[in-house]
Amino acid sequence: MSDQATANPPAVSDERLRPIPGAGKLGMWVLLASLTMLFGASIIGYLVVRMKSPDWPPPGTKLTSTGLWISTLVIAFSSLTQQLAFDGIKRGDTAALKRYLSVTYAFGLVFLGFQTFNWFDMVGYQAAGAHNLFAFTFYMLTGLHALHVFGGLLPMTIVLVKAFKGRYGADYYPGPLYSTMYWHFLTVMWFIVFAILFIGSVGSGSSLPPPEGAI
Amino acid sequence: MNVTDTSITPADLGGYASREAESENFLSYPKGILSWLVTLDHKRIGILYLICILTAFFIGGMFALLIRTELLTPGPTIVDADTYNQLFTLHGAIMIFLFIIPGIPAALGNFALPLMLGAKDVAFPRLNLTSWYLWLIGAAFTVFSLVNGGADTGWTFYTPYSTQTDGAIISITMGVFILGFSSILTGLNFLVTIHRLRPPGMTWFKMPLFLWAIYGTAIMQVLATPVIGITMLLLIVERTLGFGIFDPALGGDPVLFQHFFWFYSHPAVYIMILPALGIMSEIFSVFSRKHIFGYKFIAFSSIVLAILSFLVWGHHMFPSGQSQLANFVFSALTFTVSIPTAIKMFNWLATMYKGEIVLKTPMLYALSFMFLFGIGGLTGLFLGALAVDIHLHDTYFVVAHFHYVMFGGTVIAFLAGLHYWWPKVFGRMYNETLGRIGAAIIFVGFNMTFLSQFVMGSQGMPRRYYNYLDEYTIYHHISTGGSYLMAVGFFLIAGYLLHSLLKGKRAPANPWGGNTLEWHVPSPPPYYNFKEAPRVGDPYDFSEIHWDERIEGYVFRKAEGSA
Repeated sequence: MSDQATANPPAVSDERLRPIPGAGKLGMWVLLASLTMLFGASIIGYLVVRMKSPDWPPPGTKLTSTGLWISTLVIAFSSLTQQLAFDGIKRGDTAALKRYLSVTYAFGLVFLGFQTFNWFDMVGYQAAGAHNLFAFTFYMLTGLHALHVFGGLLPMTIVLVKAFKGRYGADYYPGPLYSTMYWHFLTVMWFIVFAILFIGSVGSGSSLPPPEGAI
Repeated sequence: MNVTDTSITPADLGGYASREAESENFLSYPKGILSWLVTLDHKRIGILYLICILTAFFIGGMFALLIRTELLTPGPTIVDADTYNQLFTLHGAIMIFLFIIPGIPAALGNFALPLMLGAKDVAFPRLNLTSWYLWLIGAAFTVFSLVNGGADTGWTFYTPYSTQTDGAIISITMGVFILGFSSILTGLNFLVTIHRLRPPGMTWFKMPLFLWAIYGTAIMQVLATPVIGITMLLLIVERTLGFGIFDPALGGDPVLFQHFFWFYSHPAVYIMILPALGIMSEIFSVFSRKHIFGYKFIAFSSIVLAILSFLVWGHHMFPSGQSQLANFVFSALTFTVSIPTAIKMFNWLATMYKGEIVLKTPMLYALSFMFLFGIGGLTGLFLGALAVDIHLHDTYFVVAHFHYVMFGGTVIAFLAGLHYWWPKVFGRMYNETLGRIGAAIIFVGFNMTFLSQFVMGSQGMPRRYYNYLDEYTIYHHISTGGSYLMAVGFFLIAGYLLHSLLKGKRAPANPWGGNTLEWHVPSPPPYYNFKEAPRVGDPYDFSEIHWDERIEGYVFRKAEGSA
């Protein structure tokens, strides 16, 4: 079966570039630990501002939850297809890799699209109260996450191109491995960010619809 | 028959004769400036870092001299008050973010880590080079703030002042943000290298203690630095877009900035000092000709310090209005830091006890370190005590404490390490007599500069002030005189090191009699470090290392095949 490909690591120009078993995977774990601290600090910053605030969300503002629920479904689904792509290449099934990796990539773009929509939605609410921290912390957390989704899609493009060129096989799949680790991290981090924004937005403040005349 | 004649083989010198290896060492191969700028060799990247951080040290040092000259007399001396504010801000920012944080790990660590580990390079050589370029970009942003209006907030960038002043805050904080990436990537690289590139036989407990220190440092670099990243971004957003997460008028919290800043900057202080402690562990053992005492205690104390570094940031903020409970907990945790630090100090003392102490230049710096870091550490206990800190907070006592730890500790250890590995890096010896004189001048000048600051600080001289009362004049005179003396010392050091580069005597493979793996290869090391798999043994066993007068260095005897 032609799909049962096995690929080998490319030749290196310098002895010191020879891949070290397990190094990339450990490096990715260390990177994810570092990113966890980044998101952790941002979430703590949100919580400090949230706890200090007398009314949250401020009158006339609310969390734009429908779009956020759709984003959540999209990224959860993309994580699933990413796992299917990874399971595929571990079996040597390059067709599955190409198919599911493309779907993940497309859903990553769809996720960013919905997040952009959510941002503009929030800008509309925010017009009621200029420069309030409720809106800002929303931009901060979702923006930080979206930036990392975007930053993940860039190397994912290379993995996708290499997948279509048949560079990966059952014995060699570093790109799919790293992108899968990273992508699951983004999904989990989105669940946490969304949960905290969602829980944070119910509580002390009055969740009134925007006043008449607001965009 | 002369026994020593037959016992020396090329293998004793690290696999082959060092004279033959000259044509293929890492300095001479490959050739050309371009080959340096795209190099993936950790040794060359270490040298690139060394050149850069020494340049930063020179610039920061010049600012320090200007500050001390301005403070020679009360009132205006050479610059106006605004310029003075910019001088101490840039002195702090350049010294900390451009010099001390990358100083030992990225420059000396890059050179020494793979060699000491027995590896041919770090795990990700391309990433290593990327870190260096990121340093350059970050440095460019930081220094750009000089011509772009200057920053006058102090190196801590405290809000709300930093969001309101007209200075070039965005450029300098952008610089810090980018330097953070450089630091994280270096830490990540070193962590993975130590985990995945240890050769057969190099178990965790056969690693030189410098590597344990670098490992602890890397953990902090990876986990603490992201927090300063987001803090600097939020500061920039607050300045440009007017969202005030740190501005109480807009519902924000200025103390939150201080928490974020110190959550990074306290581990950052340990990022600066921990590799210095690692260098000390190497030097005390080698120059006492005696096995390091309490290896496992020193190794684990490095890891404990790395963990504790994340738990004590609040001691920078005792008067900030944080809760009494927080003050109490942070004060108690701060005192626990003295335990791993004292473990190291006492183990070094025990290492020297009944050793054959050799007072070469690196050892002189190491002994200086012990005095100065001892004073720096003990005065830290004063500042960790809640009641005393209220009196001493924001006085010159803090400035003196900080410099005793960072200069008396890290910079002295950096100089010790520089003199220790210099023959290995460049294959040349320096003038030992001038080296010792330089160490003595730095020691005397340093104490003149900063001991007087303890006195004036305890008497109430506030830090960062442009003007002062007449009663402090005498201390400022002593302090400024000391800083000039240190400047003389540093120019002397720069002079003989440059002379060594051009005309220094050829260095043997092992000039000090060390037994860590870098001393088993020729000086300078070959392109791929090891021609054959290194023999890994106890790094602090000196029983098979003997002085040989003909090469004016140490050789390994009876060691072949025994490991």
